[in-house]
Amino acid sequence: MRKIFKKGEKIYIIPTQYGLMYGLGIFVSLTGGAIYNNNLAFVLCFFLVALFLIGMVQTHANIKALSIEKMTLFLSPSDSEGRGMIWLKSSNPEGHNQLRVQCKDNEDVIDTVVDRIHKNSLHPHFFTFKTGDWGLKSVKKIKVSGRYPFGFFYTWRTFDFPVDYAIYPKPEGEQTLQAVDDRGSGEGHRVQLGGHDFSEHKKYIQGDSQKHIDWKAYARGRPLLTKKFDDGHRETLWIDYAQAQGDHRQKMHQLSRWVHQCEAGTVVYGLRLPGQGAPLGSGENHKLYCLQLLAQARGRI
Amino acid sequence: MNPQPNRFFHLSLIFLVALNLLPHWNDHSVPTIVVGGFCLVWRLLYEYQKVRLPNDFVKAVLVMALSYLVYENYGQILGLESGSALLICAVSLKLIDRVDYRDAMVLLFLNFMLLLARFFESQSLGITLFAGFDLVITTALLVQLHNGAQVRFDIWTLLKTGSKLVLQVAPVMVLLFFVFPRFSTGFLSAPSRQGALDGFSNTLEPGSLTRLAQTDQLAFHARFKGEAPALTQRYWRGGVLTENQNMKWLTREFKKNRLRPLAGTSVSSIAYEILVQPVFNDWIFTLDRGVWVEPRHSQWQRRVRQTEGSLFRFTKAPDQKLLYEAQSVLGGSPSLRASQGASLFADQRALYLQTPSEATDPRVRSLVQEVSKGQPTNEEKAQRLMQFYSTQFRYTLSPGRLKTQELAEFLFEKRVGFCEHFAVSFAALMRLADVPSRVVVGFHGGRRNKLSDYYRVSSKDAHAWTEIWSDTQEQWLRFDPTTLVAPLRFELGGEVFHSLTDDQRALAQSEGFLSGYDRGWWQQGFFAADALATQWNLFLLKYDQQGQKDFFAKLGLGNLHPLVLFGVSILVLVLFFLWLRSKNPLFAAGDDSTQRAYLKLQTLLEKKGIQKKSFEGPSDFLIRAQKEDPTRQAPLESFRKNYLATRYGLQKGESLGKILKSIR
Repeated sequence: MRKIFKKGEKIYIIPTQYGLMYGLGIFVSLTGGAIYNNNLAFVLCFFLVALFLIGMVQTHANIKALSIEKMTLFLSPSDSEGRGMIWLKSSNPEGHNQLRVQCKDNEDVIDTVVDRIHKNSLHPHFFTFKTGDWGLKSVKKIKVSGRYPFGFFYTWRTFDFPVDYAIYPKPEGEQTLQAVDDRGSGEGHRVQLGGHDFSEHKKYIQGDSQKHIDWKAYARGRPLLTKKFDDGHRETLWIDYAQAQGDHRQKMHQLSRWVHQCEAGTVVYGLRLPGQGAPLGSGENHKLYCLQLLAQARGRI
Repeated sequence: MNPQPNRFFHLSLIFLVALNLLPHWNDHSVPTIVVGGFCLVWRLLYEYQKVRLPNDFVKAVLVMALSYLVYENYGQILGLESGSALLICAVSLKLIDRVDYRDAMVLLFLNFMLLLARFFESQSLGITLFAGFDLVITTALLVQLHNGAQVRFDIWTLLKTGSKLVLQVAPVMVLLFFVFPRFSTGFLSAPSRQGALDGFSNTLEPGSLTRLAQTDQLAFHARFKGEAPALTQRYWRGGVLTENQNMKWLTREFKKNRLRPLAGTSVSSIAYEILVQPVFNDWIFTLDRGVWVEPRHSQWQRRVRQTEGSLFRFTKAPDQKLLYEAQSVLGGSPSLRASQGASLFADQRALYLQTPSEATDPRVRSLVQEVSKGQPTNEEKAQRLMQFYSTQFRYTLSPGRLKTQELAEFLFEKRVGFCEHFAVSFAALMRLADVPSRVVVGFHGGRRNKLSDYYRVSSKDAHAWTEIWSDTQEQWLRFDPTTLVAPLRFELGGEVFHSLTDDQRALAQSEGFLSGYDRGWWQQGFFAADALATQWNLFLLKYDQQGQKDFFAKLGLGNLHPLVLFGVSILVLVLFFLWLRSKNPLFAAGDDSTQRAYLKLQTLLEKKGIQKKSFEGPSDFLIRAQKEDPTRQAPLESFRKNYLATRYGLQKGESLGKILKSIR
């Protein structure tokens, strides 16, 4: 293993299995040239040697002069696909190619390939990743690696770049949300979520009811949209931890589902968790706030 | 997570494999080449969704069948030729398999090996130029493969990317070529190849040499160390045929002896070097009469043998072009006679007088009696017979077949022939006249290339003549009846003569025709290409251990120890590595120094009680720091401005390190 230090920057580089195979090719051509007095075999051997060196320098250079400016991991559901964004800055006059970005600090598998970063530029890269269990999480180190341009060498460096993020419980559960009197009487009555008259479209978000997706609009080429219904008056609903049934995990998944259902409907909703909660509200930000609370609830309840 | 090759890459790979199979086209057995072409077409059709790839069973059957075919064709699996054939089969079969990243890398690697295998078969200028192009494409494809999904099949992009890399590699490759110490292992022999030029064998019958002369293949190049002998003297001996079966002659397998050291230097000896093509099996050609042969490379020096008839042979056929030096003694000389034994023993006399039967045809008998009338010497008999050939015979490359293969049919009915007809009939008649004789095959002439000072001898110069034993001079003398039948062929040389039409031959009798012919632009171009190819071959063959010593001696660096050269090679590599690094500004200082300076400042300010808050950017933090520590307001503001300019404005600001010191 070769370790190159440059002013505190540690870049590691080792030959890959193909690099070793290529090394074997160098040996074969050198031996062939010597045995058969074949000068063209020598030429090929020296060509391969020089290419090997170029490969080493360029693979190393491909990962140098690179910094991570920012990484955001968006609020995402557990056990499904999460989304994130990383901003990579190149101070490299050649740019970078085929960089692999990995974080392995927890069960969430962040592993993405950045095809190309242009020279001296700030490159935003959107990626998805597989999420694990829900809760508040963080990554401490980001590993950037590459094999460009020949695949003879594998080089990597690790950035200490702490990023906090939240994974909320995946919306699951078939329980029906019962309305609780806002004045606190404790008398409950069933409320049909959603209304009867079309009110507006909103962008489809995972967890929205499929019944409310506007398929006709989708067939016309528009993105996936969820229809919002309004029957003329806005009802208020409290999503209460106490209402959900089952064990703690089942309850949290159910609450997540109710948040999505409420947001898909036209109701104004609030969230009540033991020791904390969200006031009544609606809209995308309100939904994200509620989901964030659910993610934070891990270990607290 | 490896980049996966896409369809464009697969198309490029098909192109590369096809390119690499091309130069092997002539050198391998038909099944190997057919399989290569078949797999290429299959893959191409698959890429255009016309066929499916074969299943594992079919592939397994193909692998076994091909291994068997290679063994059948080459008699082995691990030899160089069979190995090369197997490599072709492996590359071809891999094409009709799934090709992911791993397979693509293996295929590209095998392409390098295919090229290496090609070098073991030929080091010609054409192959060198081909290799240059091939390496451009292969290296470009290596890069393309690692470019991921951006790959497009675009020959110009491939050429541009590959050329850039090859040009980067070329200087160090050339330097290493010259300085890397050459050594000869000697423990492994060079491979041998069977496949002589059609025409030279142990049998000579009417038509054998005609077929050879009708082709246009290079035989060898010769350069004389000193004045070249005249065209009439340039007889290149290759084989001697001793057994007469009417118009057909055979050779006997003579004992091969180790080469005896040359006894003294004859004043009339002539020295020359020959660059011979690997198409003559174990034959070694020398100017009539060869006395010494010394190949350039030591392992071939050990393989030279001398045999009956002043001939030389290798113990095994060379596979590559070979360079050897030789010495000959033109005409008779005492030293030559001494070296050849100077007398014909009884058993040898019987051998060289053997005839299939007594002459039954009265015309032949009459001719022999005419020649033997009186008590002439062997030379006088030969001279009389030469007169017989000076009239009534016609020289042609298309004499037609003899019906009976009898001597009389040719001598008195057909009377049309090529050199072999005249040589074998002359030798047969000499034996009937009780003169020991033999037929010699080889070449006559050779065309001088003024641009390289080499004589080019080609298949069109193939020739057969006769030697008779002179009892008075006690040596073999050359008699060539064809010189009387077709004198123009010996004035122009076989290559020019056979290239001319009948009308041109009529004109060729005029003086100055040959010099005018050579001045033609197409001939000049031909000479230039031939000179270039010859010089390249000689350079490659001569740059061995001795050649390297000579090269450094010319530079005034004689007696360099191989270890010194090895050290220089390593130094070249280290310098190349450093050059690559210095060429890349990444390795110059300062890539992340801006950020490091900022982080140092952050630590410094923390020690002074000014903590950066998590929501603050560098600019906000430093503005607040100025307010909290007004004594450092100026350097902090200077740091802030320069930091922003360097990091975000991509400009070169004032050294942050210096400002940092002033803040401290």
